[in-house]
Amino acid sequence: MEIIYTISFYIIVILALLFAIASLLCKKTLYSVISGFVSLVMTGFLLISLGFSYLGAVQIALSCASSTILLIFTVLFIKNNNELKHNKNNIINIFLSVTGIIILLLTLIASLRSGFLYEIFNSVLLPFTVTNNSFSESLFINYGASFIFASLAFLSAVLGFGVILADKDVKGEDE
Amino acid sequence: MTEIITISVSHYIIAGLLLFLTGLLGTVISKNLFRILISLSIMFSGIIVNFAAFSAYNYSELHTGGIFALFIIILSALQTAVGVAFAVNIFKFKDNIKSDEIGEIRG
Repeated sequence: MEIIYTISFYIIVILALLFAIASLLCKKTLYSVISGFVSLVMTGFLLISLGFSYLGAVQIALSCASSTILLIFTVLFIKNNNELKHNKNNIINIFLSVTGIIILLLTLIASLRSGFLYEIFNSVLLPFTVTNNSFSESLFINYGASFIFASLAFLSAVLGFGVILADKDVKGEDE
Repeated sequence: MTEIITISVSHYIIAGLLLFLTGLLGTVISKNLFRILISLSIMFSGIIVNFAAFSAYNYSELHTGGIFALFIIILSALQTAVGVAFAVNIFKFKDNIKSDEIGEIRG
C-alpha cells in the first residue's frame, strides 16, 4: 500500500511541476491559464493525500473559481488584443479547452461521489489522522477571530473588484 | 531505496520548494499580467504544501499549519480578484496588459 501511495505522490508532484512549467512556457495566455489551473488542482490532490481533504477541496474549488475568472478575462482580452488572430482554429481551440476543463471537473465530481478517490486515499494512506471534525473545531474555536478577519478581507476584495470593474469613467476623469 | 519509497516531510518540502521556485521564475520573467497572476498562485500553492506537510507530520490538536494554509488559499484567491481588477483597469488605459509598458500609476 505504501508503494501505491509513493507512486501516486510522485505522479501528482510531477504533473503539478510539469503544468506549472508549461504555464510559463506556453506562448498563448489561454493555454498558460489552463496549465496553471491544472497545476493548482494537482496541489489540491497533494493536500488531500496529506489528510487535509477539506483543504484540498477548498483549494480545488477556489482555483477553479479564480482560474475561471482569469480564463474569461483572458478570452475577452484576446478578442480585443488579436492574440489568436492568425490561428484559424481559435474557436475550436477555446471550445476544446473549456470542454476539457468541464470533463475534468465532471470526472472529479463523479469519482468523489462514487467514493473512488475516497477508497483509494483511505486504503493507501497514511498515518495521518486529520479529520474534518477536529480541523473545523480548531478553525472555529481556536482561530475564530482570524477566520472572521480573513473572511472580511475576502469580502472587501470581492466588493472592490466589483467597484473597480463598474468604474467606467476612469479614463474620462483622468483626461 | 527505502528513502525513495517512504515519503517523508522532506519530499513534500522539496515539492513545495520546486513549485515556489517555478512560480517565482514566472513572476520575474513574465511580462503578461495574467501570467504573473498565475505564477503568484503557483508560488502560493508551494507555500500551502509546506504548511500542510509540516502540520500533518507534526500532529497537534490545533492544526495550526492547516489553518494557515486555509488562510493562504483565501489570500491567493483574493490576490487573483484584485489583480484581475487592476489588469482590467490597466487595459482600459493602455490597451494592453504587458507589465513593462506600465510606466506610471496615477492616483
